[in-house]
Amino acid sequence: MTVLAYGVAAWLFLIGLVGIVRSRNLIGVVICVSVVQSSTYVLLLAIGYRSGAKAPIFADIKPGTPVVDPVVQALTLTDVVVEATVTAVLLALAVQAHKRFGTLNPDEMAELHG
Amino acid sequence: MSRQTRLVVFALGAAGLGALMAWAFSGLPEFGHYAGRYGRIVAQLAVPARATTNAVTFTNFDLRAVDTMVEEFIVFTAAIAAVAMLRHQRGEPKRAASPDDVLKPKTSPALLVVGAALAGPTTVIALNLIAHGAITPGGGFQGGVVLAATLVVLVAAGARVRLPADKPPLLAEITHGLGAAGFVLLGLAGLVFAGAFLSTTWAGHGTPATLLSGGAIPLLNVATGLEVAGAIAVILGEFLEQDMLATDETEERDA
Repeated sequence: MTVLAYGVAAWLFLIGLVGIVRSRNLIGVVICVSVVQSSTYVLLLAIGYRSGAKAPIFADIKPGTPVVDPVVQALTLTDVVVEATVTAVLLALAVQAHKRFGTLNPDEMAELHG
Repeated sequence: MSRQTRLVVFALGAAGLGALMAWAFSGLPEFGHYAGRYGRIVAQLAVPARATTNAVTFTNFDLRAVDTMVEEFIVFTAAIAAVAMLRHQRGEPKRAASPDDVLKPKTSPALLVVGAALAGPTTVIALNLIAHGAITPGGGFQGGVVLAATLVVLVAAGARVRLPADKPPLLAEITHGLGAAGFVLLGLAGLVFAGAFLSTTWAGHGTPATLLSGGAIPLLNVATGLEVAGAIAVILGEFLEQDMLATDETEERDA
């Protein structure tokens, strides 16, 4: 189980990088960046998980019940928010790049520029 | 560098990175056996100390409240960055003469029905998420995003979006600024009434699992919800504005 949880995080990270390197479209790059970042959500949540523990919401469970780590969950929330803003800014950059170069293919942009 | 060389260089680097990751992950605690003390203490403190039944919200809006303020300003800055990049610039094509017509035909009867049916419920869900952030899963960030999603639903359903030329959507900008300022003001209220910036105890304790529990945490959630909803609405507005530019390309594509 350990291998599976951390393996998924490593796989998402690496496959996202592969996508960034192979991408022929800036929008694809932006999506792959979010895939890379989603590996950190899996990693954080996997680290804080405790077998048999409940979610850290005490509205319907007794105080003192074993719960999974709330701190990594809070960090994951921060992570998701930052990811969303990064995506917004990168997409805006992609729009500007398309206006300037008339293409979204990073390779063609390099040719036009250099 | 050619595409081929780049892929080879990447493959070598990725293999090394993969090996390092495997090594690093092997030193992590066994899955399901996390033994960190900090999280356990936080979970135990949430209800007795602040009457917050959601320990995640307690972490974000009390223990790490300053971090969350910075995070909120990341959202704020990102929205401004997107606006600065996307706003109409010199030498760019003018807006289409009738931008409403650019947006209008893109919807379908099915989208219209589903969108109209969803707009009300999503608004209610958003407000529910924001209001109960201290009690059940949810909070300002989640609720704010859902609130902004209502806008997307409306646009998808074919609502006529009248964005004045080269001007931001005013309501969204006000909400956006109000939320960011509200968070700081609530922080200052903590400084004045409880002696520490972003202290949440000044607004009272409340009964756990009721709407007005958790001191200032629900108020901070409302500020965050406004800020996030406003920021996303501003960003979406700018992207929509791009869609209204009358480029030759679009005309060719549509023809």
